[in-house]
Amino acid sequence: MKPAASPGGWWRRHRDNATSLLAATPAMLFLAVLYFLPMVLLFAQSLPNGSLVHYEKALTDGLYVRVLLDTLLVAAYVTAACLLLGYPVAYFLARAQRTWLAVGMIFVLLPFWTSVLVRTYGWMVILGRNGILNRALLQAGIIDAPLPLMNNTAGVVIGMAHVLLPYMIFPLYAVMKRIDGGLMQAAEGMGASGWQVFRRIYFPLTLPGVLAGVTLVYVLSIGFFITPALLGGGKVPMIGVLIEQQVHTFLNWGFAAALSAVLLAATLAVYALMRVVLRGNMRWT
Amino acid sequence: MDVTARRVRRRNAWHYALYAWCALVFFFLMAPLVVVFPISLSSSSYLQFPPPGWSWRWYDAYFSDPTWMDATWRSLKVAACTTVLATLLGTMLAFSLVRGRYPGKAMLNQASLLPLVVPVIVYSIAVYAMFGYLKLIGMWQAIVLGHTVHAIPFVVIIVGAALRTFDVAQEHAAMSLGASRARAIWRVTLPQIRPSLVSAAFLAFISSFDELVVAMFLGGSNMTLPKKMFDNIVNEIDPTIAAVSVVQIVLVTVVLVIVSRLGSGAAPAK
Amino acid sequence: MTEAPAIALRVVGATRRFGATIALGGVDLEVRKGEMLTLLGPSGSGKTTLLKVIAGFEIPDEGEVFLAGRNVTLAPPARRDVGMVFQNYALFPHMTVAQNIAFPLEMRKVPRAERDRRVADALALVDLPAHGGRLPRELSGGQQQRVALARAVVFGPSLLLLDEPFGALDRKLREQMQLEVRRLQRRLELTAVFVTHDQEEALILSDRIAVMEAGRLSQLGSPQEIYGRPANRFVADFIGESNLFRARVVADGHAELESGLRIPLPDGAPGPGSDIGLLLRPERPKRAADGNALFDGRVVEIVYLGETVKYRIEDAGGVQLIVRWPYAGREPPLAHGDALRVGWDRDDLHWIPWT
Repeated sequence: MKPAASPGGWWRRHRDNATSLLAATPAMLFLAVLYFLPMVLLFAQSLPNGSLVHYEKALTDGLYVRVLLDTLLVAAYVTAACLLLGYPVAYFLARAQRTWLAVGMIFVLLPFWTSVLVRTYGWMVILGRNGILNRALLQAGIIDAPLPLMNNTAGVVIGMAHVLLPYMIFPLYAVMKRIDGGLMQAAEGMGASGWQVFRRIYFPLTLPGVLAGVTLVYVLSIGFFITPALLGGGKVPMIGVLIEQQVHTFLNWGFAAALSAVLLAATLAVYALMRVVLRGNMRWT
Repeated sequence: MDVTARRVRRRNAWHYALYAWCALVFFFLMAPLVVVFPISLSSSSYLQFPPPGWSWRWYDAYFSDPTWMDATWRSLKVAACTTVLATLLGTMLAFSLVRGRYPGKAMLNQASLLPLVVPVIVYSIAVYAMFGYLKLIGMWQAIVLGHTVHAIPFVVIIVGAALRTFDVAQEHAAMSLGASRARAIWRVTLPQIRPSLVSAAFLAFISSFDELVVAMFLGGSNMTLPKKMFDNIVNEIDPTIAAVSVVQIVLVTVVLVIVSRLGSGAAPAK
Repeated sequence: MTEAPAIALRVVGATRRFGATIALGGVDLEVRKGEMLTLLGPSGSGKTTLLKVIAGFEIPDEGEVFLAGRNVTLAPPARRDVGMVFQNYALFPHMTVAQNIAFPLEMRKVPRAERDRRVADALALVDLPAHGGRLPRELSGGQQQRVALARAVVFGPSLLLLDEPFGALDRKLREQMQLEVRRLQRRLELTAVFVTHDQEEALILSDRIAVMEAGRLSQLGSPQEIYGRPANRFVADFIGESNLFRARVVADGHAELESGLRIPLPDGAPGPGSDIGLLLRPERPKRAADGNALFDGRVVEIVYLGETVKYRIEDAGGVQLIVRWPYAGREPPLAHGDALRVGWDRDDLHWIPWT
């Protein structure tokens, strides 16, 4: 006589999964109410009675289009700077031994953990007309008049590159660490010069890290607010600064919401692009 | 042989170039941090470099000014609450995402990481609008909520990574020995992922303590420390900001050392 | 009149499906009190799933599990009073050896003094009296295994489960541990269920072996029964090495192979016309005098195994037979191409239905 299927068994078997779902509920509710809800409400504001007037203004008015394009351009400068500065450092760290690795990591982590505000202020001290850099250069006689390094694009790029450099270094480091040194040796053994080994073997292998870092830095750059606001002095309107202005100064909620939507769309587009390029293989560590 | 010698010399040249470049970048990374130290000890009220004289007055100004202390205290309060809330919610969520199997889990996983993707300014004005409508602006508790939402993804990533590499057999062993699942997690799993919990909590704390944009919108006139610092910079009042910066840098370094003693390193598991 | 043995564990009709895969297809099993029963089978045979059902980590879709008469089918592992030794020991690395062993006693709220006493007893039992204060990572693999064992028995469970516990140990250590576990189990009169894919281990350790294949119980019996009289081809193939011939029963108590070779059958074989498999263990044949050779062939392969030597003999019809004999080394073994005639008793032959 075959025993009947255990009825209580269904619950017992799924009890663990039910508990897991329950464990996720507080965080889920929290995020739903305090994250998704405000965002949805905001975007609702961008469409007053379903009209696209704000979006029209944001995407066709020459002034705002310029701001959008400038944002994308500045972000590109920052990304390029980070890549140039960060690639060799990541390479160094990936090959460094214990003490040098620790030292190098401190140099990268300490600024990373320091408040953006503090770092930006430090740059203001360095880059200003009477700042350290200009003073030193003037005294050394290298220049005749102080270089305009603040309240312009240059200053903003320097400041943002400083903040975002770790975000380029970490993905690169993670990928480089995994590369088998034996491959490079094998290539050399086969007669490749140093440059060829780099170009044909090493760099392609680091490409996933490069793409991850570039995406991360670019995306963070376009949404930046603090550094452009402080180091730009009002002369480098990036979209983040513009949005804040629209809310705090002009109380133009609908338009600010539309700008936010455009910014978010651009952010998601860049991420989606990277996903496609990396063929869905978005590994960050 | 000659080719090899040339190769070796060329390689050494590249090595030196690499080291030089790295030194430059490290210098670049540290420069703004280092610069604030002498400014904070300057006797001048203006941003003069080199400082005309040395003085502790800006530290004095910071510690004796009730508005600065108020802002500092508020930031600490907010950061502490954020840490507790985010670590709790995030850890539970991490357990759920790593261990559980239920419909919609993959989507929930993506959703929990969304705060990392969306630009902070966008979120800030959204929550400013909502809290403004609810008349919650100016309350430090509101800032806690805004910060927690951004800290949760960090906790989920870090604790999730630790759980994935944890040997579940130990939990099973504990259960076979008479522990309920909850007890097994409490006695066996949590003590062993403690380094990750500490890292996650640290990350949550720092992300809240240093955060400006959300705090700027939600704090109103009850400022957090970053907001006060921001105002100070914009209005170019005096180098007190430098003293505050130094205190922050020292604080972060100390906490970093403590945390690295308590467990895993502080590199973000991104 | 012998009374029926007490049953410590009874599994009735256990079935477990994962989607389209049938992990357990209606398994019935009774384990007697004090016996060591081994679940033996290859990967995917369902032995681990059955163990999990017994332990409580899996709930069967159909069927029931009774431990000491109590229906525990739905009970969580913590409430089954079962001690379990895991494949990778699963010792808690952040607790000392003594704390590990004390853990189940803590869960049962045993007072401190008695807890310490029983931990000390358990440590003595597995011959690690001075190791209580160490951490698991400071111990060798064999020592860790013994701590896992101590932890699983210290609270006096009514059943001990072992899930391929010796896989990570090297051969010598494994043999040592096998004997130790057996000794311990006998001494404590513990009922134990052991899971392994290693048939040699099963033969060494068990009172009875349950051979499993594709979620079903293929044969249940003593090691001698399993080895000497496998019930079907799967068991015959899985246990030990053997010669297996496909033959058809012909008249006058013989069976005929495809090659024409005729072999006398033991009593009880089926009637003429049946397709059967003939099983002959390689150590059974003996060198035959010229008259009564049942197999006449030449040596085509020699494998020297130290204490035994194995010959593969091929006859004129192309049929191959493997024999394995103890080798004392006093004379050189046979060489390639040497003639070898062997014979065996009728009862050395075992027939199984050919499926």
